[in-house]
Amino acid sequence: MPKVKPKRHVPSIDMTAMVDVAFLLLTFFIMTTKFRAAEKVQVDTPYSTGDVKLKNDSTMVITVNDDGRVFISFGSPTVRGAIFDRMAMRHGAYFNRVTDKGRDFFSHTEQFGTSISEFGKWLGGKDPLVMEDYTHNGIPLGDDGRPNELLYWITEVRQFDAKNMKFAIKGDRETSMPTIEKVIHSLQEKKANKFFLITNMEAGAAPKGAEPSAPAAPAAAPGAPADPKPPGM
Amino acid sequence: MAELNHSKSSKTRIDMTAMVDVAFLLLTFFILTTTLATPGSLEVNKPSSEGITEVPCNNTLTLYAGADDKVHCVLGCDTPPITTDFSADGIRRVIAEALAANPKLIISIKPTEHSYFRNLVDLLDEMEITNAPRFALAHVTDEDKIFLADNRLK
Repeated sequence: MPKVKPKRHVPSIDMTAMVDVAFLLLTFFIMTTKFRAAEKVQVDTPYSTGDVKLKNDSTMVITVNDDGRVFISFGSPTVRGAIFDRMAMRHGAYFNRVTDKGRDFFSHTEQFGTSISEFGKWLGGKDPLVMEDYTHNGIPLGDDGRPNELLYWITEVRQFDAKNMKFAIKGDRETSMPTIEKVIHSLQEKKANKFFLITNMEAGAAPKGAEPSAPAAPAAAPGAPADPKPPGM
Repeated sequence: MAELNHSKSSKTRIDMTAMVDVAFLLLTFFILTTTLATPGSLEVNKPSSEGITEVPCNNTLTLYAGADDKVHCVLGCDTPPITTDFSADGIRRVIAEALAANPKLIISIKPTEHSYFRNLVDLLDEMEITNAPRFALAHVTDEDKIFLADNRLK
């Protein structure tokens, strides 16, 4: 850079109006954004062309991850609180040790996957940070001798508001079908014959299954790791 | 105005460029996060589990979702299964041809224990794409298992 500077005419633009607009929009988006709560499990939903949009507040989402653990989430804190109280009434023994802090924490937790027999352990303390760190092992579906607790929750939801509450199943691409069928069966048992499968929107007209049909290993062992290629990508 | 800078103008100018940068950065962030979080979903209406009616097999196309992303299609009663995949040339053509031959066809979807959730979603999605009027999600019975085993299929 030469040291000799010519006289500069820096054009100065008045940015006040632009800043005004930017902050106005910013405020609007900050106000309207509702952050998705951190999820206890990560699921990669399959792709489909289905475009039904679900109202979050009145939906019970049953999430099943790839190793078959089941989680439940309700959209709004009021619904969560109400369902929790109904469960506490019905299965009192498990809820004896749950503190007020615990109930409060539950109604602010979007997703959980804990057997009610462990609720005392999970929600029995006073420190929300400890509750936050609790490991969720999934809701029992009636295997290994424990009752099907998903049925309990569905029952309460149906009795709470059968007309407006919807059910959705959010499965991972790699979730094996027997687990999904168990969930569907539980829903049907409580006469929830209409439900939704949450999927990713397929991009454009890309046909699904465009993946080259993998050289199928003949007689692969059941549950052999399938290649996790998303179809159509 | 710019020329007046050296004179005794009492107006102080604040450089707002950085502020605008920050504002737009945040703005972009919030715009992106608001619109991206809307997943789609497939609606499933299952018939009530009471009063299950058996459908005559000559009017059905049964799709078994099998292992390794394969579908085994059985059209009608005692026909040998055709194994295909989830591509547009595979299962979609099978369904389209069967529907063209018999518009009253009932399609029965049976995901076997070796299949994954994505296979179910793919099949249900195919129903939507091919506009199949009547289809049902059914459970794989013991007879189905024997049938598949007889044909050495999974």
